Amino acid sequence: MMHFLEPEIIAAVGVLATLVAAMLASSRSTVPYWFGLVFSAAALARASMLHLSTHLYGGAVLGDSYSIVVTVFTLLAVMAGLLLAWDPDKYGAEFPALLQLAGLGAMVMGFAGNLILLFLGLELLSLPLYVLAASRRTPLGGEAGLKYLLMGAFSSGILLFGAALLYGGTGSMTFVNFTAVHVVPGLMAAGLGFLLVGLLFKLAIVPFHMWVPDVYEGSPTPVAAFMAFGTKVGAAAALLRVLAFGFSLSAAWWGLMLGYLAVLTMIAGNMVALPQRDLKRLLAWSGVGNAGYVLVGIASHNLLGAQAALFYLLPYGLAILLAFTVVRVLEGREESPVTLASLKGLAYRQPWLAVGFLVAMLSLAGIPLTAGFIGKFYLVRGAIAADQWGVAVGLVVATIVGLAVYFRPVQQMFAPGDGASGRFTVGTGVVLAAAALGTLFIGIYPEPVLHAVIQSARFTWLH
Amino acid sequence: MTLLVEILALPLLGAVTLGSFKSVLPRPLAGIWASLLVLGAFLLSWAAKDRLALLPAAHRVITGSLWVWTQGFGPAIHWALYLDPMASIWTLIITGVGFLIHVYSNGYMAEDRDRARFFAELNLFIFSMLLLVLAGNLLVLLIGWALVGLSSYLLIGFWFGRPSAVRAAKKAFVVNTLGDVGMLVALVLLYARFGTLSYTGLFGALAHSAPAPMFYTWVALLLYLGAMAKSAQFPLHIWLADAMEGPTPVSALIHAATMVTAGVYLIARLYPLLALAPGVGEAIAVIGAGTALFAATVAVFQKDIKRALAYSTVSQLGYMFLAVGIGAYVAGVFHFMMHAFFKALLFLAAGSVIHALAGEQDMGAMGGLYRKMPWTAAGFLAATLAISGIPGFSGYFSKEAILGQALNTGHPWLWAVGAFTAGLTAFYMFRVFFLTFLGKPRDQHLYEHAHEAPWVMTGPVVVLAVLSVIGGYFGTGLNTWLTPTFTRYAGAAHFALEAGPVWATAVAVGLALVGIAGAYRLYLVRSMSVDSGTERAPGRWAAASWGSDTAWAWTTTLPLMALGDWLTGVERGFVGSLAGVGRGVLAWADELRPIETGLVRRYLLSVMVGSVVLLAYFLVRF
Amino acid sequence: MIRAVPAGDVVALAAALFAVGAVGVLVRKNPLIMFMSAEMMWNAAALAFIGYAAEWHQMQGQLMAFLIIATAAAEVGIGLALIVWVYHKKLRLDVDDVSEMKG
Repeated sequence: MMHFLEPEIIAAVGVLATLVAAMLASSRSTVPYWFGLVFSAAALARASMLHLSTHLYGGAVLGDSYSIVVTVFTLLAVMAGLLLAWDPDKYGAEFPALLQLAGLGAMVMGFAGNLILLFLGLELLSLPLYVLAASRRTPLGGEAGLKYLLMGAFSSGILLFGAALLYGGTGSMTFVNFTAVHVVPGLMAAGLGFLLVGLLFKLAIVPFHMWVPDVYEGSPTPVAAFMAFGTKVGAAAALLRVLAFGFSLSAAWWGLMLGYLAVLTMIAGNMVALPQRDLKRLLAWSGVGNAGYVLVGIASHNLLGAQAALFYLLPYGLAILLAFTVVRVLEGREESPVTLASLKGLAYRQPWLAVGFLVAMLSLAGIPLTAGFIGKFYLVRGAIAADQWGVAVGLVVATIVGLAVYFRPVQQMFAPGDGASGRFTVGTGVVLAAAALGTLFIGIYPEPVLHAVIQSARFTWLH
Repeated sequence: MTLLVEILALPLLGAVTLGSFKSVLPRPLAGIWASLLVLGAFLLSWAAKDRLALLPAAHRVITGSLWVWTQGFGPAIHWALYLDPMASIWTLIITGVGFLIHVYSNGYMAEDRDRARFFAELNLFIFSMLLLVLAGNLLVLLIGWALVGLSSYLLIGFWFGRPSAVRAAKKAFVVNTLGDVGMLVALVLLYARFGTLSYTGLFGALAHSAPAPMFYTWVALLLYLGAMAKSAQFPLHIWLADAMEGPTPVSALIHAATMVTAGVYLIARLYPLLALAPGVGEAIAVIGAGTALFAATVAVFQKDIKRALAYSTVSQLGYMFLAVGIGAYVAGVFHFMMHAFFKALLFLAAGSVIHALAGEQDMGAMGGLYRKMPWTAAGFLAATLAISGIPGFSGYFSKEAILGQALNTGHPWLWAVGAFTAGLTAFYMFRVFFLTFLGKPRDQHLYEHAHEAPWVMTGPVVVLAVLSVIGGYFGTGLNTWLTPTFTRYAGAAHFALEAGPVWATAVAVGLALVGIAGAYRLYLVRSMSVDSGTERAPGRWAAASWGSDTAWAWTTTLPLMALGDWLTGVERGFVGSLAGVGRGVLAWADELRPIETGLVRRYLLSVMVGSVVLLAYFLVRF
Repeated sequence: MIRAVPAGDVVALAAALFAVGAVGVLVRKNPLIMFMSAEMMWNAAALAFIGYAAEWHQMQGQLMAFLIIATAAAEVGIGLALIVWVYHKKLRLDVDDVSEMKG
């Protein structure tokens, strides 16, 4: 009965084991990192073998292939974060445990079927990230942590109050019961509005996005990489789950609002990314824009859109991991800021790094034969199937702006000049190779991955 | 089907092997290996053509699917290939002319340090172009389309040490991508409506689909946007002249013979769709004729030999679009074929001249070169006669077919523009010829050191010269050969070659002769200098391509940059992005406490404003 | 017989607390006070949960209140540590000083 939760149980045991290892081993030992990696890999292996659909505790825990996909994505982000941070001297012995804990939070958001678990997952994801964001021993680190903390506490407060109103409106905490009970519609509408604020904040949707660039810039790069992928997976998964399970009958009503927000986010994110000089800030704004793309799928409130949103997380995640890996290599141990100018001449100094970066930029820009193209293609289809032409046009406009955004760093890379260069480690090399090959594989032959992902978002009641 | 895969595989193999082993290969080997692979692809294309010819005329198509690409969201999309008579013409030209240019490059790039990279990228281009042509559905076509854009970008920026080359490469890429986006949208629209993107499925569905003129018009216009960008039609022609920053063989292969004609291929391929959106065809023809005239006027005033040829390419592409726009598909393909011969020849001969003059491209420093380079001069003359439409040479036949059909289908104005442009073409092409090869040497030092190119470079020039002279006699054969392509689906009523009235031919040829005489008088008898005419207003404007670059910069590039900067300012100073919705709430917050520069609090305020707006929406709309 | 406090009154109080907390976060400049105000919003939500739990005669709302208190405690642990650290760097507590990154 419980065995569909086994990946999460393995991951939870892994957190504890890693904590113990961190206590016992010397502070310069890589043992905790190995623990984190092995347990995450074990959980990933277990998750990829599961084929189940079960509900526990009256729909509070939803163990279906959707939650498995979320678990897999999250574990990929956790493992990538660990590999990028493979330096106990620098990041400390507690790093792996904290990162795994945050990952566990995102997984809980994936299988949450009621408000209690949703809240728990959200906080489990957020609390370790506050610590990790502040873990750089510089003023920027403190600033990132403090900003994230204040904004996070504020938005969680709003989410909680929304949850309370929903509970008051329906007398139930479980998502599926929201559809059946229509006691106090006004109260429910207000509750849903507040609840969405909390989730959209985590997903970084305009106008709840303002923390993203500062926090990414101030955090250590592996943490920023995890936040860019893992946090968005958790938030998007929970958002889709709440809306699809709890509010499928009023889909057109919330779909329209989210459509506006998606267009605003895509265009604003890509536009502001355009003049950025710092590469991490550029990626942060690109993350904002891409959150808008994910929201397009959710806003389509149909089967195609839900599947496309879930699928798009993977191409986006792989590409952004790839880009952050390049930042990690170039910034070196001193974590000196990586600007566009430091990319100058990279293609001739470190061609393999440049190839990885090129793949990331092409995929983010949505050029065919990369995974990003496939993802955007299905998002547009979802929007058109929902008759949301404005959203589809907005997506195309944003993509055009995005071309310019991603073209600038590539151009710098081929321009002659002396920029930064850095040394590969085994960890960064593995992440670079895996993410680049994955991006190209999905771009050239998406069928197997696409099939697995879309089977798991069969929320057929959205038609 | 197997043959098609191998045609594609050979150049891809070349690109991969050369790209991987470029540092360990002995230097001459790279070029030989690349040329041999393209020769192999050419022979296989010939075999494929023969196999196609064995099939009964009504079933002259080789098609199949390599594997299912995706079937996630609805009907499956295959990795499909498709060879019909028209595609086989294109494969033969790409691999045939491509092979000659590869051979030529062995000589032209002999001194270059990075020749292995050059040949790797050239082979990549051949592969991409073949993929575009052999695609069995529009998605595979789009992939080839994007890949040729990429390899063109790489090759224009081949000498990345020059800032001008990098800038030109970027310009080409941006303009091309603009077109790609248009095509992508069109594909999504078609897929959403018909659930298929394969030629057979799509054209079959078009034959009995409900009439929806607006839909077809939009789709056709979006696809034409892609063709426009790739084939340098006004106003998206601005990248082609700058693309001459690439090595000359690249200009010959990509920016004259093959890639820029991809738009013609696309429009001809989609004739069943065009038949459902008749207005679009007219628009294509009008823009094509306008482009032909426009580019010809610009070409008259160019000083740089390659830029003059580049504008001439734009002008000739205008003719091809004029042909496909009015439905004269075979004439369009015919002109593509002839143009591939003579324009590749012009570029290769110009390349030999540039090579002989140590990189000099200004015609002001040339002159009298026929004594030093007889073979090159003879080849250039043959091509010049062909492009000017002198009877007996290849260009005459194809251009007359286009102009004649323009008259026959009732477009006298398009005919008039085309005929006038033909005269202009003869004028500016003979201007180039006279300035380069005849007259007195204007730079004695360069002239002394000039020499005929080595045989690897003159060989391809001679072969292409022969083709440029006799190519016109392929016309009838081409007509029969292409008939199955254009009768397979409904929609191409007047595809076949037709002859126009005799008086029209006489007028066009007469204008061409007048043009030649004018060039002779101005540039040989009166020995006018290269930049004469560009000091005063109309000439100065024409030399600057009538200000089209400046117009783009002012209307698009600068506002976009300004908008981006403005939005950053907005982000710094908060509110702007929410101005419309949030102003009222902001004023309220303003009164509560004047906002200072503390950023976190502004972020928090942003969240609050967003929540209030969301809540208001939800409560109002419930 | 003891009459329970009506749920509406409880929720009204919770909403008032929530609004006070939100305004506090928005207008104060001291991160410590801002953080306290945010915690007040959480507690307002907890109170609303308890009020509704009484109305629906269910335990779930009260359970949620406990969870909120526990999570808030954990968050305070992290938050205070962070604020103290920033104070050590800057030697004053003004959130407007923490604005090196922008744009």
